[in-house]
Amino acid sequence: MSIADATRDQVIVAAGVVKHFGLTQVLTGITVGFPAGITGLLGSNGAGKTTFLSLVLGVERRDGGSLQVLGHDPSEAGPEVRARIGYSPEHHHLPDDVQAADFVRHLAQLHGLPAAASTERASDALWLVGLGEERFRPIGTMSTGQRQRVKLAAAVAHDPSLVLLDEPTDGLDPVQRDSMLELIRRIGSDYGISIVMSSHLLEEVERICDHVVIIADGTVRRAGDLADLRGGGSGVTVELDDGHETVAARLRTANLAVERQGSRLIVDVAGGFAPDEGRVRDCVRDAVAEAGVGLRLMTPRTLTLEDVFLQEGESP
Amino acid sequence: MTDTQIHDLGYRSYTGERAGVSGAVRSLVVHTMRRSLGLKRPARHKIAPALALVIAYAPAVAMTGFAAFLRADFVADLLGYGEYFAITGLALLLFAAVVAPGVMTTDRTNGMLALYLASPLTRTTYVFARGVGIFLVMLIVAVGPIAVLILGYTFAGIGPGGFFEVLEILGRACFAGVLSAALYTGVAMFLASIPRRWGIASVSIAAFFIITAIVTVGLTESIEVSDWVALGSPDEVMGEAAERIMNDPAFTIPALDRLPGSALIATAAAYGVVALAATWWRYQRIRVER
Repeated sequence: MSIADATRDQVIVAAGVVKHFGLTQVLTGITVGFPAGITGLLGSNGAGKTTFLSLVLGVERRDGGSLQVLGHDPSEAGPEVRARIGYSPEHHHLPDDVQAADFVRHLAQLHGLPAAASTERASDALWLVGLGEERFRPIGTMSTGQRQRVKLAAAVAHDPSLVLLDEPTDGLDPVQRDSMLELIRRIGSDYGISIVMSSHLLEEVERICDHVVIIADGTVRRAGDLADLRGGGSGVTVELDDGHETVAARLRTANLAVERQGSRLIVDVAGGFAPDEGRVRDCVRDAVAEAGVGLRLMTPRTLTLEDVFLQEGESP
Repeated sequence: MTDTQIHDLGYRSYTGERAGVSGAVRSLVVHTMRRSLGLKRPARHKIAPALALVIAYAPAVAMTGFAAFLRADFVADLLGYGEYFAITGLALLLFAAVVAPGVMTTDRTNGMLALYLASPLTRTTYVFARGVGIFLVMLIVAVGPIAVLILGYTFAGIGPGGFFEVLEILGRACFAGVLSAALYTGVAMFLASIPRRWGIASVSIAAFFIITAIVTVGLTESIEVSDWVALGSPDEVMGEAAERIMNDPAFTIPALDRLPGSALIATAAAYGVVALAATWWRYQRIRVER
């Protein structure tokens, strides 16, 4: 597979990837594909996200399985792969006495760009992340939010095919986080750069990612398009004006499982029976009519990422 | 029709050439040299390199002026070429103890090592590029001043007699300078690869050169041990090797004086090569914070 094919299709393809440090097995067999677009790599702290990114970069050697990044095996063609990858690490340590523009330019040059192009693109990248006016400030004088933006600018300045962002919103306040997520979304959609964003926060992955890979205990628990994962719930969601308990009681007598969430009822077929949404809807219609309450909404149930996580027995 | 042009095109794709690994190495070499010399850095980072350059160059410039003014042969006897390597050795020690750890340890503490290894650089090419950068800066100290002295004496009429003699002595100076730069670069890089803190690395490097010199001189002069024990001091070995290369014996410790010149030169080279190999080995095993 060529780089172009990989970019169109899957930017990362892992099959049975294993990694251990000493006696500690960190990745126990990762098998997953990362399509082009924005993919959230989701998992609790210590799940193996950063280790997996290190294998993608080819800076750590895997102990088993196969891995293709942009059509190359990073353990054999590491420099070629890394030349086309932008990387923003989790840590906030950056050289304090270096100006942001010099820092971004230096990393662009390391990725093979000539000096003049590096200077120009460093400036462009810093304007892109909103630090155009601040580009000649030493990094040591910048806030955590600005440092995260500097790292993002350094990751995209050399026009990579793939950007790896390790916890890009770590240490940001809610306003800064919203702004950073919007920026990542824009880089992924407007400039066509594939992004893998590692995070332990469900909400931010849910907001900006097209695809999700959930890692837990060193293995992939779920992977796929965000819409598919969220649409994977059976049953219906019902929103009523009032009379929730009355309707719920009627539905339970019809052998349906009912859970109340605020003004909503989640209705599904009770344990062990095959889902039959037609029957569930009919029962809801009848119960609401018999109770004489107003029905605001009845829609196929969609899951949140939290639901997906909980289904896998993993808390974020 | 209007002459208005939009120059700010914003972020866009890059379709130009990419230099690959060689470009990354070249970029890091230049960065290392700039950083070592304190260029584009706050004033406090310029003090050590400036001091080292003054220590290395000031005597050569002063003696050159002295020789030009007096035009007397005894001036060359006051400070010979071999002796001058004792002065450059001091400047190299300062560079090794302050500047090299400033480059190597800070990469690990300020997160740059993780970013370097996420670029086309590998652990091997990283060590190579940093090593070449430090070595080239060391060369400015090791070769530059002695070249100034040789040319100064020559133009004052108290140096080598003819063109080829000047070339020969410059060639010897370059050889001795390369050897000493490699030795100090290798040892400094290896010792700087062990601790994470700049200060600890600096003290370790200075202590290593000074303590090994004191111990070996003490052992060889106070109790009867083999002369070969004196090879345990890289600083003394390099000084003696430089004097032999320059064919200009000066004050040396007797034990080294009795050893063959080839053994001294080979030992000095071995210090540099083994230390660089150990640095490479060390960096293959360093866990990088991500």
